[in-house]
Amino acid sequence: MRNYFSAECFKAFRRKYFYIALAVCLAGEGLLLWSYWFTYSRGNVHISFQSTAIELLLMLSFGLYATILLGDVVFSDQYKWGTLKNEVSYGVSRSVIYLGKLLAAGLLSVVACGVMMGFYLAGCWVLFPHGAGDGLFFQMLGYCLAGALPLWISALAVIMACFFNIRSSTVGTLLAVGILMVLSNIIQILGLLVNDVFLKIYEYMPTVIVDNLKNMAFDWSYVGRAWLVGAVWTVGAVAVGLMGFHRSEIR
Amino acid sequence: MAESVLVTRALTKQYGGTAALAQADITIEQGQIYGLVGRNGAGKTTLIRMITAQTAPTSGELSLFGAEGERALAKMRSRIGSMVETPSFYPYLTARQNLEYYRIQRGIPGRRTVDEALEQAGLADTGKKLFKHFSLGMKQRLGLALALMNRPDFLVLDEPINGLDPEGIVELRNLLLQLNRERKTTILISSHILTELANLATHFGFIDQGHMLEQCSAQALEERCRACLELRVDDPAKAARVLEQVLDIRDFEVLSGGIIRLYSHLDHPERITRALVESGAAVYGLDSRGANLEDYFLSLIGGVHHA
Repeated sequence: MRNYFSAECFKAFRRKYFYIALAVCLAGEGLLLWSYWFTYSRGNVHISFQSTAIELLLMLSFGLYATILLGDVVFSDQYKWGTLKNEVSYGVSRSVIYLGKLLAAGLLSVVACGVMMGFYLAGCWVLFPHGAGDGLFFQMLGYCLAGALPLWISALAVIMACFFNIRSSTVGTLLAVGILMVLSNIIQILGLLVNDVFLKIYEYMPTVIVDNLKNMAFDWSYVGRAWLVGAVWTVGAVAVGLMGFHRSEIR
Repeated sequence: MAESVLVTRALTKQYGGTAALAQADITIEQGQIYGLVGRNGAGKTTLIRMITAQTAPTSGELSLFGAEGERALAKMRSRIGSMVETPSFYPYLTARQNLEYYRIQRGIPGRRTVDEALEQAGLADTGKKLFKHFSLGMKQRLGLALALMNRPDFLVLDEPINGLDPEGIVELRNLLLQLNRERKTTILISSHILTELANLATHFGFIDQGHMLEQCSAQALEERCRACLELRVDDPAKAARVLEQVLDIRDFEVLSGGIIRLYSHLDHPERITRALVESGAAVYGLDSRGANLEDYFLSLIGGVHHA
C-alpha cells in the first residue's frame, strides 16, 4: 500500500492539470482579495480581516465540489489510457489500487485546501486591519473545518466510486455531481411533496450539513453528526465502489 | 524435472453464451519459449488476460509457479513481466517518468533499474519527450521496458512485434533469446507473424475458436513439417524392399493407405519411381511435401484462413 500511495503521489504532483487548476482557484481568490482591497483603499471602513476572511466559511461547499477535480487528477483517466492492466498484471490487488488512489486524492485535497486557505488568509491578514473579532473568527474557522473535513472525505469517496466503476470519466463526473448536488434537492422535493421522512433524510445529506455548519457555530453535536454522516457515506461509497471494481474487467 | 511456470486445467472464459476460451489445458515449463499461434479472436489474448489477472476465468484452474488461489497467484504475478495488447502509459509523462512511477509502485529498488530497462528497450535517449508523442514502435518498446523492469522469471508478450520496424524485430528476437539463454526466463509469446515465432519458440500451442488444438515442441513440429517425398503405391511391402535393397534408402516410413514417405533422395524422384516400376511395384502418385509453421497451422484449422 505504501509503495502504491507513493507512486500515486509521484504521478499526481507531476500533473500540470493540478497546478493549472490550483492556479485558477488562486487567481479567483486573488481577484476577490483585490476587490476587497479596492473598496478598502477607497475608504470602506467596514472592511477588516474578519469581514473578508469570513468568506472562507462560505466556501466550504466549494471544497465539497473541488474534490471532483482532485479525484480526477489522481484517477487520471485510467480506463481511457488503459493503464490499470499494468497494475493488476503485476499482482497489485484491486483493494490496494482503490484505497491507494483514495488516499492519494485525500492528500492532494489536503495540500490544495492548505494552499488555497493559506493564500487567502495570508492575503486578508496582510491587507486588512485587525480587530477584536479575529480570535473568534479563527475559532469559527476551526469549528467549520472540523465539521467539513469528514464530509469532504465522503465526497471524495463518492467520486472515486464513480470513477472506478464508470469507464467514461465524463459520465463518472456527472454521476458524482448528481449524487453530491442533485440528490439532496430531489430528496428535499420528495420531503415537501410526498412524505416528511424525506425531509429527515435531507438533513443528513453531506451538502446540507456543510451548508449549515456556519450557522451552527460551536454546536459540537452538529460536528458529531457531520462525522457520523461522513463516516457512513465514506464507508458506503468505498464498499460499493470496491465491490464493483473487483468485478470489473480491466482492458 | 523443470518447474512448471504455468499450468491451466480446463480453463474457460465465457462472454454471454460464447466461449472465448474453452477447457484449455496448457503447461509451460521453466526455460521454454512458448509460441501461441492463432487467428484474431481465437482466444490468445483472453488466455493472456486471465494469466495477468485482467479478467477472471469463468471456470477451470490456473497455477503460476505451482501456486493456486487468488492470494498466492497475486504474489506470483510479481515474477511476471507482461505486455498485453497495446502498451498503455500516462500520456503526460515521459518514458522515464512512466517507468519510475511503476518502479515506485512495485517497490523495485534502485533508480538504475529504470535506466537499464530503457537501455534494454532502446529508449535511453527519449529525454523529455512525452509518451503521447511517441511513435507506435516507441510505445511498443516502452511496453517491453516495463515488462523487463522487474527482471521477470516469466515474460508474457501479446503481439510484441506490432509496430516494430525490421531492425526492432531483430533486436527484440535477440533480446528474448538472450534473456531465455542467460536468465532462463520463460516466455509466452503470441504473434500473428508466424515466421518470427518459428525463429524463437521452443514449444508451440495452436489455438482456434477458443479451443487448444495442439501443443508440441519445436522439435516435434519440425519432424511433422519435415520435407519428404510421398509415394502412393499398390504394394507397400514390396516397395519398401525395393527402396532398401535396390536404392539403399533407409530414411523412410510406411503409412496406412499404401503411402510411403521418404526423407532422403528428395532431389531424385525419377530414380525412385523408375526403380519401383522396374521392380513391378505400381506407383499411383508422387508428391513433394514439406510445411512451414504457417502451412502446419492452416492444415490444423482445416483450411486457408488468415493467421
